[in-house]
Amino acid sequence: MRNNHRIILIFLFFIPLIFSIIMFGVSETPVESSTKNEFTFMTYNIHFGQGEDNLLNFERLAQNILVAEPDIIGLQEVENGRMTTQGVDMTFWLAKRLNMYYYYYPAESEHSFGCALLSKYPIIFKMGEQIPSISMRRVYIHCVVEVNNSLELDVFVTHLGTSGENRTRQVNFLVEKIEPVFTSSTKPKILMGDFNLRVNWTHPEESTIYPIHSYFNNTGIAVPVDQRARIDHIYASGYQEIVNYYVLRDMLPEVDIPAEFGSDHVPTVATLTFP
Amino acid sequence: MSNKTKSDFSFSEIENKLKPKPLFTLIFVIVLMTLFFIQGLKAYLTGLYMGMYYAVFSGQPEYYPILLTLIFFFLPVLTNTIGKKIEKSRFMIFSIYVITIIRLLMAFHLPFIWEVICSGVIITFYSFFMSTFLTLWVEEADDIELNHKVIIIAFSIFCAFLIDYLIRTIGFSQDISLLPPGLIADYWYITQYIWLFIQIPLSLFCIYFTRLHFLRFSTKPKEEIEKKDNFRTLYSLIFIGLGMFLFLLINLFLYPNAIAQYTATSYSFNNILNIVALMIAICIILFVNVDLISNIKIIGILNGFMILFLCLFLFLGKILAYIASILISISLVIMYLNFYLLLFRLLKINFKWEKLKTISNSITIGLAFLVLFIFLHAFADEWAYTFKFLKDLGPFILLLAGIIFSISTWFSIIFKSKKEEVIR
Repeated sequence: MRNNHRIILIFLFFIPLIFSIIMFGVSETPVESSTKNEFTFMTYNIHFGQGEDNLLNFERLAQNILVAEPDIIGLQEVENGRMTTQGVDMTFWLAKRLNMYYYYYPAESEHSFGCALLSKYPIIFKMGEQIPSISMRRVYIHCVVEVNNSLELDVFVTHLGTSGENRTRQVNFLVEKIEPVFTSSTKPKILMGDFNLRVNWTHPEESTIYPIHSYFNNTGIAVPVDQRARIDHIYASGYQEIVNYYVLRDMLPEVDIPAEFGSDHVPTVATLTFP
Repeated sequence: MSNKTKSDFSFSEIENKLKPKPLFTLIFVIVLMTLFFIQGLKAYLTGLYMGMYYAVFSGQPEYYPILLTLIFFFLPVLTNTIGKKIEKSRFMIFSIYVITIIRLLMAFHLPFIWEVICSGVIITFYSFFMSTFLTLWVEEADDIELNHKVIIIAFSIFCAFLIDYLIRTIGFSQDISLLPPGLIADYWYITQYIWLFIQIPLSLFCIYFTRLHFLRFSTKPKEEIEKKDNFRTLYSLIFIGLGMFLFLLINLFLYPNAIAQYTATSYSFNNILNIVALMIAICIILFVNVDLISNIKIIGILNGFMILFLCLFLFLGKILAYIASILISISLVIMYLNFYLLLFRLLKINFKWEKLKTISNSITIGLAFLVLFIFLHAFADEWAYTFKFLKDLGPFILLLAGIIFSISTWFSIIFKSKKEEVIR
């Protein structure tokens, strides 16, 4: 073998290692703090990254999210290293793509069906816990996001079960977990997720999820009627004003194809101001 | 002493023996075939998982055909039958063309069901290709030693894994077809075709190199008639280790992010470590004498450590953190070496029948056990709510696969073909 061929071969052999070392340090640093008081929240059940056409496409998910330019995102049905996502760590990938901080907590084993939080601002506290469930395991996560020196947010993300019995137990469990946070902290609080239920907004007290309403000031009542008929909700307390609350239904303007949706859900978005 | 430990393999020597055909073309085609197989397998399993989810758990009949595609894993058993009807070299070249064209089609982003079918076809034809190619090359009348041929094949397969790591690394643990350029936001949906621009030249090169190099394979076997081994058909079960290797990699150990999650460590750290592990394995097969690696005591000790490290990783991963991720990378090196030894034995042993049937049956057995363990693990892991008795058994199934893999390698070393024994 000629010498120059040998050098090329050795160089090619080392390329993956060189790139892995470069990628170790390459990524933009997310925004550290913000002086603004208006923030956009999004909850999005990403269905393992598989869209309405059943095809896996992470960039499509990222583009769906970017339409609303959210500051803090709660994700459900997130996988890490499973074959449903070709072994990809979805949270990590999206966090790098969107230049955000992240936290992931799996529901099944170490890598399946979990919830995640992405934030433009540092996540200074993070924890996840299993929720009692009859069939599939469910989880909630609780993070504290430090927006700036004077504003910290308690953010909860969850994904509840599909059966009625499941949800009643799960809502009660969630209330048990949220209650101490309300008593011990005065920070504004956000709860978002896929609750797998439609709320009767005329008589919210009839809904399984009603115990949560008492903590979050019936946030949903303030939003337009046509936006409420969803199973993905954002609740908030300690905010000043709801600037906007909508369900993102059109990902690609002027394009109307199933391929534009990165998931079988669509994102729910709320823009709130804080004192 | 150094002669006993150092391999006598040399690229230059092989290159000279292959002249006028360049060695590069041979390696290029094997690497690409294996890379397309890895991509096909990952795409297939993604589709199968979704198909199962909709068909079985949601009862949607339009997804039933997905389950039928499992047949693709068992079709390689027909290799010998087809090989008797069509000339082996033609069959091999046809398989290369099918894989190349189907992978090109997949780069156009076909509808879901077609993507699953195409990836299934790639899996089947890769098995056809490997069985016929290994048979033809092993039996070919050339001056290259069998040991050196195995090293070239194992080197090419491991290089394909290395490229797979590279693709994921530059896409931040993602395949390049989904790599975000972030530059053309208004036309982002075009970006999913990035792989197509890479696939077109790859396919063309693949076809060109196949015509350049693979046509030379004659159907004239070596004049020397080898003694037929009298191993029973049942003994081909020792090659379930091939399936266990694929299961362990595709299910967990090919993904640095999954290792990171198990051990609460950094993805980037594990990525570097896993790439280094693969590079070490490649260096070992190139520079260390296979007799040393296949020493029964050495492989026993290495596999003992592999099982121990697997246990520590699966059950104490979060406590040991970075120690566990380093230990599992060492295990990865042992897994690659086990695979190399299995391949080595596969090409040396004949189970009663002719070579092609030995290889194709072993590959089919490997694929069958791969499917079995994938389902077993899925029902113990993400679908654990369906069979409660399997709940939380996921790590035990991974450990069981590791143990079977070790036993398979150990037994394959114990087996010696008659020819080898005569030499001794």
